[in-house]
Amino acid sequence: MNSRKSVEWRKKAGIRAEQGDAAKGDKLQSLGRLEPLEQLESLEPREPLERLEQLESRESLQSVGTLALNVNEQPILVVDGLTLESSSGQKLVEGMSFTLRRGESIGLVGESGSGKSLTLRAVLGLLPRGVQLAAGAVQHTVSSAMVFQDPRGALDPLCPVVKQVAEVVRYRQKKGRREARAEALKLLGLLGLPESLAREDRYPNQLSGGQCQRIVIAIALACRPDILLCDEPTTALDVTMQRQIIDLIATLQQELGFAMIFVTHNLAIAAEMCSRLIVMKQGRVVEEGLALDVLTQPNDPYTQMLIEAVLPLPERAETDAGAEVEKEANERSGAEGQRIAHAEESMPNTVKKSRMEDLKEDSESQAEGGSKS
Amino acid sequence: MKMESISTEPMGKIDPLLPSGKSGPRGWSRIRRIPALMAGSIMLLVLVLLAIFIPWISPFDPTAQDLASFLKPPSAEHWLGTDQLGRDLFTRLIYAARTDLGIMVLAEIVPFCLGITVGMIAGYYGGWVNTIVSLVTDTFIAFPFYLIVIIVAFASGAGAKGIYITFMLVGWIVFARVTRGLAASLREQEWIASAQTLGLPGWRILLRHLLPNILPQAVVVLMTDMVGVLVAIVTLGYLGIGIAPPTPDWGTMIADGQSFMTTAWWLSAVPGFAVVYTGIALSLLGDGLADLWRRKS
Repeated sequence: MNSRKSVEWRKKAGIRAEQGDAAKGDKLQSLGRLEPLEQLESLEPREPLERLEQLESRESLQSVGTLALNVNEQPILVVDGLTLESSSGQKLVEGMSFTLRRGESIGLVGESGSGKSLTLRAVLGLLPRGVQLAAGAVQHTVSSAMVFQDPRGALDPLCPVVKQVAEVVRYRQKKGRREARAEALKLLGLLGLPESLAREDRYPNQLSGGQCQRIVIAIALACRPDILLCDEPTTALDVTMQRQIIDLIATLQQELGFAMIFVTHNLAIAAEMCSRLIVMKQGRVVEEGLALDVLTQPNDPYTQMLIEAVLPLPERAETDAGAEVEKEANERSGAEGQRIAHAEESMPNTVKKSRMEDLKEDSESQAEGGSKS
Repeated sequence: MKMESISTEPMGKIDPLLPSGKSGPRGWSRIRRIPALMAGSIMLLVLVLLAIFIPWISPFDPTAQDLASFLKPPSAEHWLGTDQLGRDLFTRLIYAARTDLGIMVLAEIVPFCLGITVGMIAGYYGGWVNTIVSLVTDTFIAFPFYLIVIIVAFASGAGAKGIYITFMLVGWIVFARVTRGLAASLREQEWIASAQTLGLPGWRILLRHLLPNILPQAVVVLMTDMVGVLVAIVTLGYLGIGIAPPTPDWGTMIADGQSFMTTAWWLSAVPGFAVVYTGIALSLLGDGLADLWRRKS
């Protein structure tokens, strides 16, 4: 756990160094270089009212827009003073409070072990064994569904995927077998999965990670959720796939108007997906506010650190030239910095040590020689 | 929220699907690549075919005595010779396979189903069911297996009925233990958790998702357990509390031949070899199946 954390930090340090060079110390500019914030500038802060206007300007989305956002509306989810602890009494999440309105999206950001995923699971009502609710409450009147971090792990390995989607459609939407299958295939088509699935069903191990994640999203959408809970849905995917899944979720949210809680340790993704951000550290909220405010005027040094350590998303892939896009993406994502950090890390300590000793001996012998002469 | 309002245009790039043959060649050719599976099934198939067609293969009656030609060595007429009562050994051997294999399979059906059901429920739901099941299985395992088998077989009387009762009482323990562990570990996996939150009914998760993931392992255990059951049937026969003569059975055949070890050693050796042969066949089959399913996933 500790070593993993330190690796992460070193990676981040590597990237930070590179950013510092490129942006000549200007923090905002350095973030601007990373694509997501560029977008943020062109995008109004997604405060519900403003967003409503935005939506209404698009004809196709009018119906969704009027349905989706109303500031005076009762929140659909209230998390009030949520405190989770392990069976040994250690506090894992402490005094977490926030509300979620229809169509709104909140980003939970923080390092590994900061309690963001646990908060999400508490909202879903699915606490892992050994974790219990110590205080506070989660109240919601609507249905929710979850998109998991590891798409392959979230699918039954021995059940073909269309069948898995159809099964959820059948039980959640109370439909017949054949109807459910048709509905499932429609969903899968909508999510950009090949039509050949209709002819020949596949097992999860026959699909790529990105395809599996689309299946997982399809299953979540089959519940017709009012809140979509995303637990680092792109972490297990490669960079180009990350961009596709993020775009997919964003488009789906605009079309279907569900509210969303988006857990990630990547501020760039959170900034793009969410109107509000909650920054967590060691189970506590350190900062909370509109995404733009948090990113441009962070109050807490921890937030500052997260902003500096941001891993950018790759450019939106306009062409299908996968290899080129990926190469570019790798360059953009500071893969070089990562590699350097890795190289340094993988250099055995003994080598460093022996080199130090060599130097020491050299200087000593020189000193001796000097004293003799 | 209305699904109908969604545009049907696919979003994002469509990746091609991997060819479905990714996990290796399908069906028969995949089976052929696992020698253990091939060998095991062929060995067992030979035995089963012999057992089915023995009335047409052999002109002899397995119980008809011919005291004029007793303890004959193997010859063209009597392929494995005759026993002390002049009965053809080969015919008796294969008829005994009918009895023993038949009882073996029948005696395992109920324990297999019962054990999987109990183990799955205990492992998946946990709680007090789990506690009771673990208590019972651990208690049974603390006893020497043959002690329980002999006591129950003795109490319920000799013959096939006693064997069925014995294994119905004892046999499910192995399956319950294995399945309970598997179900408990699968329960922690994300896709089971996700199925629960998606609102699928509990029985459906158990039957359609948990069971298919447990069954391969359970079948492998079944194969090895069958070897144990076969040996137990033969042992009971040998001790005289299993299949009663004159019904042919490998256990009684070994016991009967014992007195003629010096003059006609094959009387005991051949049925003993038959037990070993069947044991090897079942073990190879179990290994091969485990291999097959491992490669598949």
